[in-house]
Amino acid sequence: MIEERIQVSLQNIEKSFRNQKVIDGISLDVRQGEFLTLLGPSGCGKTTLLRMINGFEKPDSGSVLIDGEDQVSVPPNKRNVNTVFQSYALFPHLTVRENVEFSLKMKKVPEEKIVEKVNAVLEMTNLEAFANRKPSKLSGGQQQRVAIARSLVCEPKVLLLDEPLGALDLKLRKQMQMELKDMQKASGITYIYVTHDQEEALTISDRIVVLNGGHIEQIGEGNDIYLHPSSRFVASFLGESNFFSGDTENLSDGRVVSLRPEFLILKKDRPEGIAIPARITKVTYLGVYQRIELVEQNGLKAVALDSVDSEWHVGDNVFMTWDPDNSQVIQEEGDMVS
Amino acid sequence: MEKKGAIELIDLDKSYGDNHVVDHINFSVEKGEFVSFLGPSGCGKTTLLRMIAGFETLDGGDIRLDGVSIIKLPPEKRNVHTVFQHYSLFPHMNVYDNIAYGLKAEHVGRSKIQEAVKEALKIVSLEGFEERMPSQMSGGQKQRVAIARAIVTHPSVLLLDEPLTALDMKLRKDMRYKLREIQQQLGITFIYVTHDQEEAMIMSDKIVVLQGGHIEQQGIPQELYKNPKTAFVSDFIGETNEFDGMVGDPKGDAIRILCESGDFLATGFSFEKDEFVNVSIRPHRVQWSEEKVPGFHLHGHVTDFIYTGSLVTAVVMLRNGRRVRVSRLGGRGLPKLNQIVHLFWNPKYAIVMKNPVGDVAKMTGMVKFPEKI
Amino acid sequence: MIKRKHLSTGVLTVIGILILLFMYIPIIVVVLYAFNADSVNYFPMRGASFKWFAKMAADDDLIRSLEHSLVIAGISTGVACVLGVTGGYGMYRFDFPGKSFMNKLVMLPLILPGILTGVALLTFYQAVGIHQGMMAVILGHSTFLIATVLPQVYSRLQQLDGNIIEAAEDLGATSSQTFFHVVLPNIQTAIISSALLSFTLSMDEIPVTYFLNGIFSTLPIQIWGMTRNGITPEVNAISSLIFIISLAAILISNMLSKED
Repeated sequence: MIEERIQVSLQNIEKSFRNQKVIDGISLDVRQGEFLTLLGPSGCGKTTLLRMINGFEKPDSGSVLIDGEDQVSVPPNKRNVNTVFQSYALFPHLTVRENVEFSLKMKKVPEEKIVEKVNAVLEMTNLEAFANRKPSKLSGGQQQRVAIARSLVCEPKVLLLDEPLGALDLKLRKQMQMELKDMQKASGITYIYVTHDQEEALTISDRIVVLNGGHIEQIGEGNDIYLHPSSRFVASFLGESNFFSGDTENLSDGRVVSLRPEFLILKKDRPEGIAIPARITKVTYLGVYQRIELVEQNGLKAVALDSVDSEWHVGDNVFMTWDPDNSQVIQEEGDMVS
Repeated sequence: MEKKGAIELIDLDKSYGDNHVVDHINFSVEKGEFVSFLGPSGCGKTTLLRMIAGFETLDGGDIRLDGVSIIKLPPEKRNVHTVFQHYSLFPHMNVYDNIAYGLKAEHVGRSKIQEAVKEALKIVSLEGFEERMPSQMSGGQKQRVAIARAIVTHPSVLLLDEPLTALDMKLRKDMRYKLREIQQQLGITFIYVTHDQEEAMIMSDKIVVLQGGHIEQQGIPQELYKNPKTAFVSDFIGETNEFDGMVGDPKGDAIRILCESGDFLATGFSFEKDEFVNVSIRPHRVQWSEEKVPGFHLHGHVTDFIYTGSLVTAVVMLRNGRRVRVSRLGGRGLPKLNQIVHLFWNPKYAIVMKNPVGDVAKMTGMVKFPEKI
Repeated sequence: MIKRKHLSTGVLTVIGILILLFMYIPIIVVVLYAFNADSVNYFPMRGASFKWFAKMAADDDLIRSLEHSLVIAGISTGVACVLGVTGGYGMYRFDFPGKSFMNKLVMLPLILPGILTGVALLTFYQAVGIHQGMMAVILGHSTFLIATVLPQVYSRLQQLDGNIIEAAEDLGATSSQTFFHVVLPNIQTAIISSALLSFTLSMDEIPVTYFLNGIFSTLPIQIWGMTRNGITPEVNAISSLIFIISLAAILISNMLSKED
């Protein structure tokens, strides 16, 4: 359940590395119990932000608050936050069980309690059969689960995940995405997740924070910002988008119409309303649908997605149209207009 | 000059101790084709590629390039070049020297080298990058330089080992189309290794699906998607809903299939009554109605939606708790949350395959299907 | 390519064997003649006997010098390990001005000729009031043995997944808990193998010891003195013993570093 209570609050964070501004004034509130994803290309600052929350990086200015408390003087090992690293960082000299019980041993928890908690977590992550194996003898997916189990046993308020599925095969990755989502829902722990894969972000998150060049482009529920991107960057990063200018509506300079390819309708005969002539340059079969690339008379390119049952061929002359309700007018500079 | 580049793999075999990594593989690649080796980790696809390149030895079999066996040649003498996952650019040389390296080794004249490098950079859209050093470039740029370096000597065959894996997802998706364009433009035979089926579908003329060292199925993307021969292929390529069932009586032009979740219709297969089968139906082929549909007994309610951008999927939970996915482009025509729906489809879209597990279940009497609903 | 033996592999193998023989035949001869029944080195040997080993065991000066060597090697190795491990860890975790310079400086004792090191240390110790003797030798050995331990530990640390230290802290471990529970177990083999190597180097060491020892003898120096008067078979016996022990230490050290 996502409560209105704010669990983690980043306020006016600034950070530079070697005279390069990596985080440029970011403020963000994370709600308790939500699955929040920091999404953006390499170098956008998402991992740095994560490391400010777990304490391995300090902001140049601004504050990090967890449960309302400023973390400025709290070292990583004292924060009620745990991290799943991209490389898993399992202790190679310890077995799965020993890896998972590590934090409890360091905190000197009594032996019986350790066994109880560890067994519960191993069961939850389906690792009981591997309890006595060393990490080198596990598959990528299994190692991933150990990394999660090791953090969960600490019962953190917040779990940070830094591109944890990057090293896995596509099939396994999709499976693990569902598992993570189910786990998060069941535990009620706040998850803060970092990824550069927009499809992954859309699949698992309650809310997505789109980052670019050290600042926030847009925050919102996945499908919401997908259908209503506030800027050209978000429209292009979160999936594909067509951008149409002036000739479709009376737009002043600096505004474009953004339309998702699945809403671009192709007709053989001129339809009523919007009707832009174009020629098909490429058709790619993708199983679920087909992807059609087109070029307008003025040379501008467009992309449409259509059912595989439609017959489209390279060289076909068609009319492009759409329902205006499905398009957004976007300011090139970033503010959404309508 | 005739463009060459046909590769034949004949009865290739390789084991590491007990591990039969490549298991009597036979396959042909025509010149100018884009072929993908697709499969999960450990299926043998990378080993196969390395054998063609000459970095791995064979335990048995032959590899022929344009009819001539190349297995006795060391890597540098085969006219095949490789693009690796991690670019492997020479860090101490700039872009120009990196690309020119292979040409210099062949003792090509300096003006010819300049021309060739310029052309290669144009093809990968990196004109003007000659003086840059690898440390000054992004991952995507470095990968393009690696590709330029591989194509500049006009090899007949290019081997690519998951070259886009290290890139950001967005860049990766853009590069797929770009790579395919380059391949078609130059007419080079590409052999491409990947574990991403969408990537394989977008780029390839033919896909070879590998598992445990042997070929599960090979064919054009449409063929593999529409007519998978095994449950592995139907599950690996694209999303699907899978049912374990038993063949029942005919109904009209189709045949009834009984399963734990209910029963439905399918056509286009040749299994006998009471045989155990595995049925796969793609989420975008599943239709729904508020009323009962003759021949189909699968109903439940919509529990939630999965948004992955252009595709929206409704998850329908059937009476027995089993979930079925229904996908639509842009979410058009999907039922509403909590709506009770009856699922059906055109029987020709159900892919029916033999279910090996079914035999065991039958023998032990483990599975009980409802006789009539 | 199908596996095939080339002519060049055969030639390389023969050359390799010849080189090994060239290096080891002298040592093999020494070991052989440790069992010589005669006092004079006839060729071929005319009889085998253990008497030289017995004579060696009865030689008080020799045994005392062996004791000195063992004590020096033991303590120096210990000191070198403590300083080498902490130094290596410090270099791994922290960035400080002059770090890359220090990285090269640490290797110096391995590169400089022993005599130079010996003279330099002697001059320095005399200047600060450390007299020749046991303490000086131990200090001197410890100094150059750090060069054996630190680089090995540092390089082993770099092979580890750097994130495990952060992971340990993330899970609540203090710095010292992190060091003892996470870092140390993973560099164990590097420490043991460099310790064994250090011990061997200390046992065999002559030039630095010669300048710093003053009046007592270490084993190699004692043997050296004995050979001044000609190679007695007793020397063969003690040499064989040293050879076997050194070989064992290096083999174990090698095996351990391979396990990583």
